[in-house]
Amino acid sequence: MTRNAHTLTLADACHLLRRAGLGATPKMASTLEGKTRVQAVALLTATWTGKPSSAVVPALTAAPSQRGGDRMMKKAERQRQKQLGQKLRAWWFSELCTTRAPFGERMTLLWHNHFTSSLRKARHAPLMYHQNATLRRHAAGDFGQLLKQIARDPAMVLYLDNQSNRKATPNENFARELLELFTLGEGNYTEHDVKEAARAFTGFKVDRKTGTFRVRRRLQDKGDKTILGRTGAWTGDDVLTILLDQPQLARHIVARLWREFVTTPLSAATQSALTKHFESSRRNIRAVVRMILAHDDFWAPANRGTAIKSPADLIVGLVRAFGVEVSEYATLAKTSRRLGQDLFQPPNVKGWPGGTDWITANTLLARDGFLRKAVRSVPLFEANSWDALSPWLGVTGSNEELIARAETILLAAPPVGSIDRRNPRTWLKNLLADPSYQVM
Amino acid sequence: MTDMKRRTFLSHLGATAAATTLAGAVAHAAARNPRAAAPDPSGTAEGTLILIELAGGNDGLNTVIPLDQLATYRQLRPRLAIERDQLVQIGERVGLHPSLEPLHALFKAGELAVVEGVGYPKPNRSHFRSIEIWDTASDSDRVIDDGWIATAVRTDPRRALDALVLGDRDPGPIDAPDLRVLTMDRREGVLNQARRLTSYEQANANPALAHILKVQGDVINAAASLTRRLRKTPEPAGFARDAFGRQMQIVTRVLQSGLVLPVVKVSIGSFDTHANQLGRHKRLLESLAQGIAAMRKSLSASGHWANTTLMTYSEFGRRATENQSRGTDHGTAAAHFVMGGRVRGGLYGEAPRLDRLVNGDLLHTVDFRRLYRSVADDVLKADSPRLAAFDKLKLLRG
Repeated sequence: MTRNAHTLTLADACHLLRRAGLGATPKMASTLEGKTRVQAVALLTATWTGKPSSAVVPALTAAPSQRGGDRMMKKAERQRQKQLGQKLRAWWFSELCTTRAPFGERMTLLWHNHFTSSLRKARHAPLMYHQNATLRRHAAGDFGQLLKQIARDPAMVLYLDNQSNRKATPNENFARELLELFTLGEGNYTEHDVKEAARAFTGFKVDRKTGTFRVRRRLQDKGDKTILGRTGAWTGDDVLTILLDQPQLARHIVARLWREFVTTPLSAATQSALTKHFESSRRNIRAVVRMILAHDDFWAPANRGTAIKSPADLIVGLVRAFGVEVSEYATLAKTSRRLGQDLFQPPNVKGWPGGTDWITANTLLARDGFLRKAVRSVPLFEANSWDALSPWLGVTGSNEELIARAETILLAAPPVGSIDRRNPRTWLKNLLADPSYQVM
Repeated sequence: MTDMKRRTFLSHLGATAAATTLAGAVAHAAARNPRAAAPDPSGTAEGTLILIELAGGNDGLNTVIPLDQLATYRQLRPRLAIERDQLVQIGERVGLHPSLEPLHALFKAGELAVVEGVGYPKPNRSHFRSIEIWDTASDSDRVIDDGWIATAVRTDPRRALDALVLGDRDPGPIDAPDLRVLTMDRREGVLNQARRLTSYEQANANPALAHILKVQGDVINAAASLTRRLRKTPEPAGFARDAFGRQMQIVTRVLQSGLVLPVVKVSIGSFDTHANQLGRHKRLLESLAQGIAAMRKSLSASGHWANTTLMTYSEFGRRATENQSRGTDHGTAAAHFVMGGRVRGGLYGEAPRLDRLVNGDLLHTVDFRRLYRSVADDVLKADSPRLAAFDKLKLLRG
């Protein structure tokens, strides 16, 4: 661990903030600069209560909706839910842009892309809000708790059809994704395991009136099931317990976490060390993430500026870095959708594939269009002289020093094109238009 | 799955560099000879496949009406049934919706194949899930990321572009990270946007940046090529000024410009006619048929029709029984059309039996992937592993 005693340069601090936070900001970068790796990681990952910091639209915490009614009433209700969905997205963007605990939001984004559900199927924004609250509560905590809560999460029950999973007519959708995506990974279970697990989840229901989870015993299959070699009259919770005992679950989850923070491959030795840590910490997510963030591979040059920013990273990162005043968070949500990431509505159960998939001809043009517009809302854009960099950065120095510091914070890789440093406005336009602004 | 994905991702990085140089070389060549409007050297023989998405779920039963089951049809559709004397009769046992009259000429010329009963096992009635199944050619209970076209069309640096999408819908079947796809939702706006991008020297050791630079280079290259060609190609006449007509007009113009494109996607909708269906459905089918007829006329005159094939698809048909709101709800199987200069016109498949509904739904008689296989084999001239298990219908002359 001696190497971890090395102190963080400004570039190191920014790297940590980009990957494990929501982008580098002058203030946070200054705070972490000079700390050791372990100190910095501990500091960044410490503060997370799981509670949202901004006020939530009351309708999002209410019972989901009125049911039934005639065609007009149904149409009005659909319209209301659509608007609520916009409010829900706007609310999360406001959290992302203003939170003082960016690590927790980063983890919530990660789990939203792991335990996926979508407004398109759940249909009721309050249910998706409720799921988000569950994800954030457990985002850095006990993975077992997270898994158990998500299995009985109403939006998830609807999204993966456990709602229609009955003894007489089992529906395997949830059981299949539980094994393939959420816990073990493809190739680590049999079709028979899927069928048997589906039987164990029969009777899982959402009360559509109250939006709460219930088990309908009448619809439950109480017979014996054999899952991963273990036989018993298992319930859904029993299945989750069996899964949590599988060494493969630990391997699958640490690999998932690794991929979120490191773009180079996970070696067998590191995976084994992380897996041990996951198990000995009683599946504590924060403990594993801290180990990843302290790993040499995380800090290696091969892992710097090698991830493509997601639309949320691009938008939220810009707002946070420059302190852009946002008048309408719903607009940010709409931009994110245009760029390929409609929060609360992932493309399918696998979530956003991310990586190079973020950049297609269309999203590239959309990103370019967004940045051209967004640069005008950056306060520095109005600056007449380089002196404006000093209060923004919170340091003093020569123009060259200030510019160099700003570029270290804004870019994770050397610029591809030439940057014109004639005046702050041209400089800023050049920086944001450079392809290096797209990576982190 | 995820580990697999990662390996593919990493192995792509190696491939990217090679593709980049080729694309760069083409860009240079084009820059040196900006007046070149000759067809691309690649694949003129394969022709172009135009996918027409009938978004929202088209009511197949009021589009292609089985004349031998008219009595049952009227019972199921007391208020929505199309009158017998209004139907455009094609062949012995099929009548088309009256709005499809412009397609009659195609049928008479042997250029319209009507495939009845198209669907898939274990049908899903959710719009987004069912269109995903159609887009990816997956089984009902499997989730695949990439559109099915990606398994039949490989990117080719000799082309400026692999596919073009018109309209405001997703690329859907063409959605794949390895294909160079341009979406033109508002006419040529995208070309102007692309003009603002900076062209960079493309080599970069950082794999993320290398990918961005490759796509950026591709966009600049494609837009420049398209702009150059469109400048020399007059806007074709005879198209209606509705949304679908405009899409078809742009596609016609692009094909007439000599740009080689294996795949184009257009869309029309919404066909999600839960209430007061008759008027809306009539207008949509009218727009559809007029757009197709206008394209045929213009492409025939310019000599491009022989290499053009169009295929409709939709996430599902609609329920056999009309609902209480003079509309129809989400259903299963439906008839679809394959049209073009190389099509063997006629009736294919089998109309689902209206007296043998399953839970009130039509039972499909032809798996939709047999249509895909047909056009993959005979238009795109490509093997698609995802379609290997499905037999083609002989819809096209080889």
